[in-house]
Amino acid sequence: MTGALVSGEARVAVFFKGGGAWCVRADSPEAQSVSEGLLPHLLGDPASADFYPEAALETTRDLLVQACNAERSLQLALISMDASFTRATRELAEDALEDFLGDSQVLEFIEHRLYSKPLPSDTCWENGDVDGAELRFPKVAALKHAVVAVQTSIEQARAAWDALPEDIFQESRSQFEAVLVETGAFRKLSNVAHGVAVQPSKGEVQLQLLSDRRYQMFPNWRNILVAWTKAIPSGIARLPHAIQEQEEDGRHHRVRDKVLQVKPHAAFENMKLQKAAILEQLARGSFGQAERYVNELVAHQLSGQRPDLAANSLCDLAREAKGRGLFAYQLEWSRRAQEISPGDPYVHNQFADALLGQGELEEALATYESTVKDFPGNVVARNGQAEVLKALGRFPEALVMYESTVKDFPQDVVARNGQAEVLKALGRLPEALATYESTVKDFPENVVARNGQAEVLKALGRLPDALTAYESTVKDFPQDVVVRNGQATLLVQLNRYGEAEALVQTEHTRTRSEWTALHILASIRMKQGNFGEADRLLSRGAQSPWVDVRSRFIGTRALLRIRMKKLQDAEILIRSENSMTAKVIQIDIYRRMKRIGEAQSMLRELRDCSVAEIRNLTRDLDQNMKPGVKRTVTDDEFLDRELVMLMAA
Amino acid sequence: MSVDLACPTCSTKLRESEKDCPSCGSFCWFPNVRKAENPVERAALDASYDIALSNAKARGVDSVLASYTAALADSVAVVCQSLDQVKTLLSSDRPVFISFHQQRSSKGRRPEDTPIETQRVATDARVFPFYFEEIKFAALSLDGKGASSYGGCSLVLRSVAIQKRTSVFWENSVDFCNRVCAIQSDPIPAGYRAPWASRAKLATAKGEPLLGSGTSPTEFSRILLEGDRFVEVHIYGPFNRESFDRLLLPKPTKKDEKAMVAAIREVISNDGLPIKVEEYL
Repeated sequence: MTGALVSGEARVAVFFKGGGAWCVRADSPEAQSVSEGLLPHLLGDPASADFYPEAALETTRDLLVQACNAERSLQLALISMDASFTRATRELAEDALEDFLGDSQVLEFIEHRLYSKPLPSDTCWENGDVDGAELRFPKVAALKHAVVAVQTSIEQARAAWDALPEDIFQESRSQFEAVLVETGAFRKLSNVAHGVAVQPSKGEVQLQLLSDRRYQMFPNWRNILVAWTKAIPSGIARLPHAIQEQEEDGRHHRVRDKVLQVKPHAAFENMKLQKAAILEQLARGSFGQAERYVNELVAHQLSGQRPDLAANSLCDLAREAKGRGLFAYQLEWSRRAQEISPGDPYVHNQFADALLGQGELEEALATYESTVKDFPGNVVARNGQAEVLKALGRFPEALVMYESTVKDFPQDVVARNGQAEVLKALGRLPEALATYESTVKDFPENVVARNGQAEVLKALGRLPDALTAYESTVKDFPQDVVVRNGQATLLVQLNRYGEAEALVQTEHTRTRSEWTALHILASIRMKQGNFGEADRLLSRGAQSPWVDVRSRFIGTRALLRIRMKKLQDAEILIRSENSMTAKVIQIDIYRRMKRIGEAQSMLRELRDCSVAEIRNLTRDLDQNMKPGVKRTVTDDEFLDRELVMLMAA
Repeated sequence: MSVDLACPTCSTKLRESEKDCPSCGSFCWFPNVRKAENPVERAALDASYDIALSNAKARGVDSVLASYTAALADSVAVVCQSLDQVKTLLSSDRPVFISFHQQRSSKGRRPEDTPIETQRVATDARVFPFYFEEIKFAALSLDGKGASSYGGCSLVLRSVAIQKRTSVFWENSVDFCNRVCAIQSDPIPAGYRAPWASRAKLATAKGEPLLGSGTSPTEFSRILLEGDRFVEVHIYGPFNRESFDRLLLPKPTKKDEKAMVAAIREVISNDGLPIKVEEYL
């Protein structure tokens, strides 16, 4: 097994890999091997530890630091509010807490807990015990005000939860509650009850909770959530606001139940600035702040009777979230957009695209189909439908859809490129090339078409032509990572590793293309025989938010294990993957292990596959596993072809 | 080799794991201590102890061994935890703590999902059959500092809080089982556990080979406990913040650590806990 158990309270993480375990401590830079005897005692209460199955040894330390900071901050916040401590100790705690609250994840961790129950009586916070320390620790002061301001609403959310009858929980009440606290459900509902206009509506929160998979492991989860959220009153909508200090007679007072005054159109006038600020927060990983800004923007636009603007803003932001691999936000924001503006086909398309990103292919297809039915002239929906069909492996239907769209909209470059791409996948390479060539002729500045043309040339084995096409496209679009990746892949095939490596050097892994570049780099290391470095990079890739990209990394790790003659390890790695490329690799592993029955069974699963590349590989694998039949492809050749398949996926 | 156990009140046969008689409800003593007091275990430990004495005499270190044994009479059980865990334990009665800290989720993780749980269960089921969930662990110490791998702060258990319900074991029980009796169905050999009152005898038998003629009393702590080598203490049932009398911790240097230590000192003082705090460099 691989993964890390991380406890901020014990200030220890344990990383598991294979049969080994390593301990990472907050105060020590080196990971240490752990004896089996020590292992059970390291974390104290195992329930206080979080498990990260995707963690690698090198990322475990970061997870631990984050967990330690969150735990320590919560301890400090509790000291700060506890009136039984001396003022000196509380100030000491607030001084330290101020430093931690700059981290939005820490702030969110604390808020999720502090919003889960009303403050006990006679805490310093509840009693408005503020003084000069407030000026010195503004972040702590903001936290105090925010928590105190919604106390009545927290009481309502808590009372509604506590009133739920015991029998509907089937003995899972405390665990369910703990997950709801940790994931901020109490906070969301408290804000609904408080009627803060910058927050999603009650209906939106209900939807969010009901679609959150973290709750779906509990028995009767739907009925519990419905009963709970129904009991929460919707608050009176207020003007959006940031936390503000109210001064009266020189003293700070609680802001509970007060409507704050802001300039009504300031945010609207600065919509572009607000969007830029949201994107900046997303880039920083300050998700709580980003959510607050989004809510503020939407509330302003709704208050100006412009639901269309609000929906458009949400869709724009959803697209940006998608570009950053933040699919949960893409889905959440596009879903909100759809609720606000249900008749807008643009919104429908964004929502369907979000479903596609979440891997909810059937639901995405249904959404696109309904949009096409309602708006047959909507080219985006038609292309979206074809895209989902392609993702479902239904290539012939995708081709029909693209062809009809191209017929109706001959100038739509997305449909023409989509058509060419499906033709390529079906192995109809000359037609694909002709389609791309005609598109490039009509749209010489379209980088997707030019890249596709080069891809088809490569697939046709016209490698010099493909390289020329890539070079010319890279020259015209030097910043386009997709093209650079394509050229790098070709150079790897040509064993020109140095040139390939120069094209895929990137410091970041934020976008899909950057993850792909990382995969190519790992493949280069593998081809160079630097297995340790290749494995390190591939392990990192397992954290990519894109499912198909992640699958590519896992597939390549399996190939690395094959190259290292660790077939058993390779089989364990690949068997949890469901992609067609993974199945091809699995067949090859079974072939090498002489487990022919299992290989044949897997081959049958792929017999209807229409992707030419996969058809060719499985045909050769089938031929080369038959006893007594002369081998036509060597083991190394299979490995190379499978790596090319993964790089091109 | 098992010995028949019977309730002293009604003579009903008892299972090894039973603390109370299933028939009359009489308290029949703590099963870990009962096991350590088993005549077979005692005889085996006595034999090890006698061998240690004769070996020490043969090596001319019998007086050093006698000093070591005398020191062990005052040995204590120590639990090591992080600063946050100590604060959590000591704050367990505070209203704000009860509201906002105590509840934790396992994120749906099942016990069998990590090797930690499976390893613990596999060994504990052998050493404490059917009552392993009742056992808490500590380490035997002479200077009050515990095994630092387990956490930076050492909490010393009050003798009165544990002496009746505690037994000691030769070393970390998981490591012992892996080393000495790795096959799950094999019995654990006798002579490697003792009731709390006999801890000096067990630790003497274990530590004798590490003593030399030049060993001074200042080295005794290190001989008893160094790194992950220690005598494991098994306590039946829970302990709480009233169970400790000393807290040893490194002198805090960072702002947040200072705040935590200040808060811990105030909790102890305000709540009248009998714990002496000792900071060391």
